[in-house]
Amino acid sequence: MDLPRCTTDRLSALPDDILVSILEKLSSTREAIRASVLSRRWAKLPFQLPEPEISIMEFLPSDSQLYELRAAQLSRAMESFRGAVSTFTSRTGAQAKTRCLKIEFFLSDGRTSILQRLADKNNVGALQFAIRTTVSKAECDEKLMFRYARHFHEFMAATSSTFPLLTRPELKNLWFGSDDLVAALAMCL
Amino acid sequence: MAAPESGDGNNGAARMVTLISSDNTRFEVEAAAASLSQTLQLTILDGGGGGGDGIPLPNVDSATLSKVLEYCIKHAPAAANGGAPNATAVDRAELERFDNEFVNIDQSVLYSLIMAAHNLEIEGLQSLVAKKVADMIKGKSPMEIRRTLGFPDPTPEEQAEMNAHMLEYGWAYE
Repeated sequence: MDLPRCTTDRLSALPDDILVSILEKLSSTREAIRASVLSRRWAKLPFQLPEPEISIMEFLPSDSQLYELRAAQLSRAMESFRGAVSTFTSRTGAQAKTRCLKIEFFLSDGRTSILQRLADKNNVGALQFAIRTTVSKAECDEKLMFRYARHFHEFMAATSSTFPLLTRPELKNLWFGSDDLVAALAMCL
Repeated sequence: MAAPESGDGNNGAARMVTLISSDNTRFEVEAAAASLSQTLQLTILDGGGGGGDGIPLPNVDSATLSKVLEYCIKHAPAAANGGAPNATAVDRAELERFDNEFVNIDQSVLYSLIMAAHNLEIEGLQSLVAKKVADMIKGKSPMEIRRTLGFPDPTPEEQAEMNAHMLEYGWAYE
């Protein structure tokens, strides 16, 4: 398709915030990153998205069932997820205009380091967490519940400085005793 | 807020305002339609744009302005109903049909429109055009996006930068 030269010139003449409003209409932050391959100028645009969203769910194989994930699939997804989050947290200073980073992830051990970093750097205005598990309610016996409780305690302890940044914590498929809930909410204050 | 002059639209007494494009063409439209622009709304509320005065729009040419006003005139009744909570399904379907057809135009016109919508602060129009351009990009490979948006094929240097981008953001391409 041959478009007249003036078409791209007109596109290039648009200010950044209009181009960002176009990226916002794509189906995901991931797609916005892919579109930013166009040029050096476009490469900077995803970091001006006001509310980038990254979910572990996007990185799971499309034919997989959430509750039947294999460990290898899960760790692959986690690696991509970590890459995605650090893309938005490793930017510093004036480059980053992220007002609220929305992330959704699974609760388990050994993956809090990246979330700790969120709080250490002042490049994200607010955070929105959706924390979920990979087992269904029916499968969740006492042993598993105990394990998740431990993970959640560890998670809160390791990321305590992150909690005050949270604007909207959302916990999916998790049950709480009232003490835990109070403790978690207190950390958000 | 009461606006008696923009009542049932049948009395022929709706308040009119004149807008003047960058190439000096005068457009006379109902104040209610022009007020979809947040920028113009203030001027109009202050009583501007009536009589022989007209509001100059030095950043919008006549071709673009006529297209912008086509959108505003179509959307004004729904906007007057406060985002049309009472609109019937038929009304909404008709607006949707209009919107889809409205943005089915040359890319260069789309870009002029979104720029004008941005300057005049017509949120619905900017959102509509942004969505259209996003839909042209959706699901395409980097090369397809370049071609769709009329970028020339990449130079070897640009190709190297694209490869570096895809490597750096590998998670987005899996």
